[in-house]
Amino acid sequence: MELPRLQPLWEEYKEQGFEVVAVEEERDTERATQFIEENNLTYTLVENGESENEIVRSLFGVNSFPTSFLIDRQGRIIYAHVGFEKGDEEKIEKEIQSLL
Amino acid sequence: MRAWTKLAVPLVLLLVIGACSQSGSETEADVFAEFQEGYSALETTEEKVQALEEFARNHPNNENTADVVSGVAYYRGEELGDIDGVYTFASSILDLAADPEVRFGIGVETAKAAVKVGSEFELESIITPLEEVRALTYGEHLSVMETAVELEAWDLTTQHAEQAVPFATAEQFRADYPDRDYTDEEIAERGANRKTLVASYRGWGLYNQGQVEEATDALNSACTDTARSYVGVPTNDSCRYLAAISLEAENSERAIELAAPYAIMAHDETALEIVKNAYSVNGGTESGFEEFLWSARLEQARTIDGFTATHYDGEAFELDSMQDKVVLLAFWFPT
Repeated sequence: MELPRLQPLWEEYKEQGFEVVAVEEERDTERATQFIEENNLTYTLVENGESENEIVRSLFGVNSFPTSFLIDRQGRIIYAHVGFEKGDEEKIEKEIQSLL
Repeated sequence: MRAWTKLAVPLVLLLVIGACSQSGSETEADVFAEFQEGYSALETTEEKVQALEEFARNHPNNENTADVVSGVAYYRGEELGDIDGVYTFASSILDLAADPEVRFGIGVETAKAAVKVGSEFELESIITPLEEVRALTYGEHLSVMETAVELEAWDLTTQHAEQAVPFATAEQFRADYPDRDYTDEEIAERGANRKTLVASYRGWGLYNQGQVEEATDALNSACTDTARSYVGVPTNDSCRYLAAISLEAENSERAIELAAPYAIMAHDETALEIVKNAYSVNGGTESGFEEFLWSARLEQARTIDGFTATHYDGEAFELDSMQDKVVLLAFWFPT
């Protein structure tokens, strides 16, 4: 889903123990930091690493973007979303609520 | 990735061609480059739809028109919700187009729209003229298979699956994308994915033509060999087709086992229907179904162990630091 829309989502549920981590896959630092600034994103945004246990593609085999995993408090991936379609935001919010 | 986003790449190329062309007659490439310039300034969906439709109407034989029609399918169809309008529009452009290559692309978009509005579409009318000019590419065979399945045109499904088999190799994948920077491993993977995808369509086509044994063999191989996402979803529908066959053969446990990953981790409605039916055939009640789904979800859930990345200030990030929180982990790249 679109990154700016994650900001209000995070702000709404963070007190209940919800975190957002956005991993920028291509290490395009300049573009990414500019985007983050322009959109006032304050949740956790990080850059994909280079070592074996960091590279998103080889770890997760992620080939489609955006891809997201919703992880519960026990560290299990309970929901996955690939791509972004209309109506996904409501789905994701419901899923988050069900795990909090 | 939507076909529409592919326009970003030819745009740069065409702008360069446009800038270098001699004065005098405008080439189709110039025409499209000009259109792109104006288009990129548009903001509302309505404006975009109008511009795209005007271009297609005025240039029905331009090599980019199929992509333009695909853009209309997205903006008018998905954003404005006017599926009937997409079908009418795409059909009208198809009527204007004469070039077999262009007709094929526009025809595929029209066929997709036809499926959505519940109309028929004669795929042969766009395939045969193109075949008279040249052999179809892997991508074109794939487009035929995808739309033939939705139109329930089973002969075409199996015919084109069989014609696609020679293209479903690592070597052919490399040959189709000579300029891309793929590793040998990636190429091998893509070749294998083509193979299982083609086998998947072939199997489903055969099943619907009544060739149950051959179909089941093909689908069993494809489902066993197919790659799966990190969360266990197969990269093609082979296992879901097998699930449908299992359900019909009254093997409900197998049906659930095969369809569950799609239903639970990929929001696949068809798979969910299969799981629901198999579940009730097995004696499950409606109220028990939600609970059943939830426990299947927990059972299939994978963990992520030791994921690390880097903060923009250089500090290391460890996902483990967010233990006991609900985390939305999203992967993106700045476009």
